[in-house]
Amino acid sequence: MHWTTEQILKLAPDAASAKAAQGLLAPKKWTSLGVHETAIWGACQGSGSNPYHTQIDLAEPAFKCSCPSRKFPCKHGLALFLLFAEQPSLFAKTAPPDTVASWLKGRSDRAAKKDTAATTKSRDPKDPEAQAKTAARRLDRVKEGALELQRWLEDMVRTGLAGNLSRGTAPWESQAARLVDAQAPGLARLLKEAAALSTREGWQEHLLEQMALLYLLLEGFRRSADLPEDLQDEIQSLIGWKRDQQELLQDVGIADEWNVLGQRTLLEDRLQVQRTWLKGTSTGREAMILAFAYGNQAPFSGLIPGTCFDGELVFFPGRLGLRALVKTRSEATRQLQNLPGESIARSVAKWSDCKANCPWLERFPFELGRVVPATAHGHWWIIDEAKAELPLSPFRDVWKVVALSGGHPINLFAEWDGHSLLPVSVCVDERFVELNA
Amino acid sequence: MKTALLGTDRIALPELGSSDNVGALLSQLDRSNREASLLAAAAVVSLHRQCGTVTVPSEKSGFPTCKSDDTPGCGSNAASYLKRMLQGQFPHLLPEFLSALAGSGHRLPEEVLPDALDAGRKDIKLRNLIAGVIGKRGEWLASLNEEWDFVAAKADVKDWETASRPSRVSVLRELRKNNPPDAIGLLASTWKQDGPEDRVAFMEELQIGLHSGDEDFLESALDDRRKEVRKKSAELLVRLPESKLVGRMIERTRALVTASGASGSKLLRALTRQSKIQVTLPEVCDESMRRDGIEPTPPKGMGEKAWWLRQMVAAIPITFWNDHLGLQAGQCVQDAEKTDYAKVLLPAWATATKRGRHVEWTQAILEYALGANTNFQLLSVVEVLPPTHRDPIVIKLLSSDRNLVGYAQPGFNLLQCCPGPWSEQLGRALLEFLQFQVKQNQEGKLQLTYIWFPNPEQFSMNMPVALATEAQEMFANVAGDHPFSKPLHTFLEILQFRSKMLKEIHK
Repeated sequence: MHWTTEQILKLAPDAASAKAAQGLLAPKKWTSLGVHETAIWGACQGSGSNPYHTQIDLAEPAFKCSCPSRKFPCKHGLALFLLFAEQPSLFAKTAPPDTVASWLKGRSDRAAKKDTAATTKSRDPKDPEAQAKTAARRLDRVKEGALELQRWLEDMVRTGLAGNLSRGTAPWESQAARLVDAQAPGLARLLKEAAALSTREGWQEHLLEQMALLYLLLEGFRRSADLPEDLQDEIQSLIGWKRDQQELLQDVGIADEWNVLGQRTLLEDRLQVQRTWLKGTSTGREAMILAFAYGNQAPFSGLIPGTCFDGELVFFPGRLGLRALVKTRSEATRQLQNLPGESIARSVAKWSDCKANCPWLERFPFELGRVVPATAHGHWWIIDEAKAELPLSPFRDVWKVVALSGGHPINLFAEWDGHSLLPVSVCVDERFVELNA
Repeated sequence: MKTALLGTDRIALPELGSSDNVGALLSQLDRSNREASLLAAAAVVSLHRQCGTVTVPSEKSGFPTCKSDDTPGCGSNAASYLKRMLQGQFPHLLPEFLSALAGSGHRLPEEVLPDALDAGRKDIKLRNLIAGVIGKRGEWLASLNEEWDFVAAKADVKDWETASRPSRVSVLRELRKNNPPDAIGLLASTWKQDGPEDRVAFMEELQIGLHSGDEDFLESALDDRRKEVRKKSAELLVRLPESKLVGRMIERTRALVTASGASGSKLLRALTRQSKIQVTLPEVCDESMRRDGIEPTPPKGMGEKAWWLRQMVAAIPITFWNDHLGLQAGQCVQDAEKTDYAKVLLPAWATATKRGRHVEWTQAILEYALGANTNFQLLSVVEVLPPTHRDPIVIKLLSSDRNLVGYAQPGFNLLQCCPGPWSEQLGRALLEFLQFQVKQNQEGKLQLTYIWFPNPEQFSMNMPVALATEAQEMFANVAGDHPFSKPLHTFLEILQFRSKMLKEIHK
C-alpha cells in the first residue's frame, strides 16, 4: 500500500522528531538503502563516525535503529520511511543484510512463540502461595478504600453538593489520592473526572449522575459475589485491577480484517491515553485499543486511522467486550475506502442495550451513515436521512465537517457519551479525514 | 437533584415511589440510609433516561447544498505542505504556495478550507490569494460564517450603498481595474456618509489605475478627519508628478537646496572638498506641510528639521534636480556626499529614484553606495534595474573580494536588495560564493563569524528551485555541528521545502 507523508508524520512521537526527520531526507545522507518484501533498511550518517543502521518492517509498521535515541520511532526511522514513500526508486531490491534478516526472523519467531505459548501455557510458576497472599492483601485494601469512598460520597450529599463544591475540588483530589494508596486507581480516576465536571455548564446534573454511577459501582463491588462473572470482571477492571496482558495474549484471538476507524488522544493527569477504534469487516465487531505514554511523547500503537489490516484481536474479559489487544498482524495494511454507516436510531438503540448491560459504559463508537451537520444559536447537531438528530460536543474541527460535507450527506465516525457526540473522522469520496477535538 | 445540592441534612428526601416501572424499582430502595438511597435513585433515574433515549424527528435542517466544482483539488501531499505552513513551519512561503496552486489550475481540498480561511481572516495580505484557490466549496463555506466574509461573492455596483465592506471593496477594485474614473465617481457619491474604516479600506484600492483625474478627489481627501486617509492620499498624490501637492513640495524646497554659483575653480573645489550644493534646513513644519503629509516627529536619532527636509525632497520627482542644480545625476550624488546633509539628501533621492524608475540616477546612487559602507537604503535602488542589466553587476561583485565575509561583501549585500525570483545564473553565483567561503574555512584560511550568512530565509526564498538538488549536493559534506552551518542548513532546508512543495503542486 502507498503511505502518505502525513500518515508517516503522524507516527512521530513529537513535533521535534517530525521536524528532525525531515532534515534527514537528503538521499546523500543515506547509504545502502534496500527493500525486500515488507522490510526496508538503510544507513544514515549522523554526527558520530559510524552511521546508524535503521530498519522498518512495513507490515506493522515496526521500527529498529542503532542510534541511542530513546524516542520511538526515532528520527532516522521516520526519515527512512518518508524517503521510501517519496522516492522508492532509491531503494535497491536485494536480499536483506544479515542484521535485518535476523531481526525479521526474531520478530516472526516471537510471534510464533506467542502462539505455541498459548497452547502449552507457560506462566512462570513464581511462588503461587506468595502471589495469592499479595492478591488477598490488595483485595483487603481495596475493600477498605471502597467502603471509605462510599461513606465519603454519602457525606457529600448529606451536607449538600452545592456547599461542598463552593469550597473547591481539593477535598476530591485528596480523596482520590487516598484511593490510589488503596490500590484502586480506577476509582481515583472516576472521582477526579467527577470533580472536573464541576467546572462545566449545567454541572449539577452531570455531577450527581457521575457520583451515582460511582456509588453503584461500589455497591456492585460490595455484592460482587451475587453477580454474574462477566460483570464481576467489568467491575474489577473499573476499580483498577490490571489484566496481565501477556497472559491475555495467549488466549485465542478473533481473526478478521480490522478497519482502523479513528483515534483520539487525551491527557489524563500527565498520562496520554490514546483510544483507537477498530471494526472487523466480516465479524462486524467493534474494538477499542488503548495505548499510553507519559509526558510529551505521543503513545505509539502502530495503528494508523484510515487503514485496515488482517490480524487477530484478543478481547479483555468483561461484559462489554470492547477493549482489546492486537495479538497478530499478518498482512500489510491498506487504505480504508469508506466508513461503515448506520442510522442514528440503530446506533442509539445499540448504545442503550450496552449501557443497560454495563451502566459504567463511558463512550461508545457510533458509525453514522449519510448525515449532515446543522447549526443554530452556536450549537451544533448532526441529522441523518430519517431526520433523527444528535447534539455535537463543541470541538475544534466542526467547520471541517461542514467543508467536507458541502451540505451533502457524509459518513461520520464519532464517540457517543450518552449526552453528546464527538466526531473522530469522516470519509468523503473515498478520502478519509481525521478530525481534531 | 435539589436534595443532593442542599444536602439531606437540610432537606427531606422526597417520596420516590410511583406507579411506573422506574417508580416500582425506586420504591424497593432501602430508605434507612437516606444518602445511599438518594445516590441509588439518581443512578436508576439517569440510567433509565439514557437507556431509554429515543430519537425524535428533527425540525432543524442542514445547510443548503454546494454546487459541484470542475476544478480538481490538489493532491494530499501538496495539501500537507499547506498544513505544515498553516501550523507555523515557514509561513512566509504561503504566498508562493497559493500563487503556484492557482497557476496550476487546482483548488484546495475541502478539509484545509477552514484553516486556510482563518489564515486569510488573520492576514489581510493573504486574502486575495486564498480567495483565489478555495473553489466553489470554499466560497460556499465562507458564506456560512461571517468571520470569513472577506471572501464575499462579488456584489453588484447597484448594491454599492448597501453592501458589506468586503463586498464594496471588491466592487471598487473591479471597477478600478476596468474604469478608474468611474471608480472615483462611485467613491465620491457616498464618501461623506461612509464611516472612517470604510474610507481607509477604499483608499487602499486607489493605488491601481492611479491617474491625473484622481487629483481633485485626493486633494480633498487631504482634509479628511481620519489620519490614515490623509496619509494615503498624500502618498498617492506624490505618485502623480504633475499634482499640485508635488508643486507645493517643489516650491518649499527650491530655496533650501541650491547650487552655489561658480565660486572658485573646479580644482579648488576638489581640493577643499567644497560642494556645489548648498543646503538650508526648513525652520518650521507648518500646517500646510502637515496637510501635504509631512510627518512632524522624526524617527529616533534624527533632527526634526533634517527629517522634514528629507521627506520633502523624497516627494519631488528625481529629474527636477538635474534642472534645478544644473548637474548630472552622478555629479549630484558626489556633491551631496560632500555636504553635511548627505544622510538627508541621498536616501530621499533613492526614494524618488525608485518611484521614478530612473536608470541614470540608479546607477549613480549604486556606484556611491557600493563604494561607501553598507547602506541598504541606498542599495535598494537596484530594484529599478531589469535583471538582464542587474545580474552581471551582482555576479561580478560576488566573484571578486571573496575573502570578505557577510555584510563586508558588497555583492552579497546588493544581492539582498534584488527582488526575486532570481535567475539560475544569479543563484549559482551565490552558491559558488558560499562554497568558496566554506572551503576556505575548512582549510583554516577564513574565519567565518556569526554574521557570515545573514538572513538565510530571505536568500532561500528568492533562489530558483531548479538549483535545490545541486545546492544540496554542493554542501553535503558540511557537518551539522560546524558553528557556521546553521544558517547554511536553514537556507538549504527552505530551498528543499519549496522545491518539493512546488513539485507536488505541479504533479
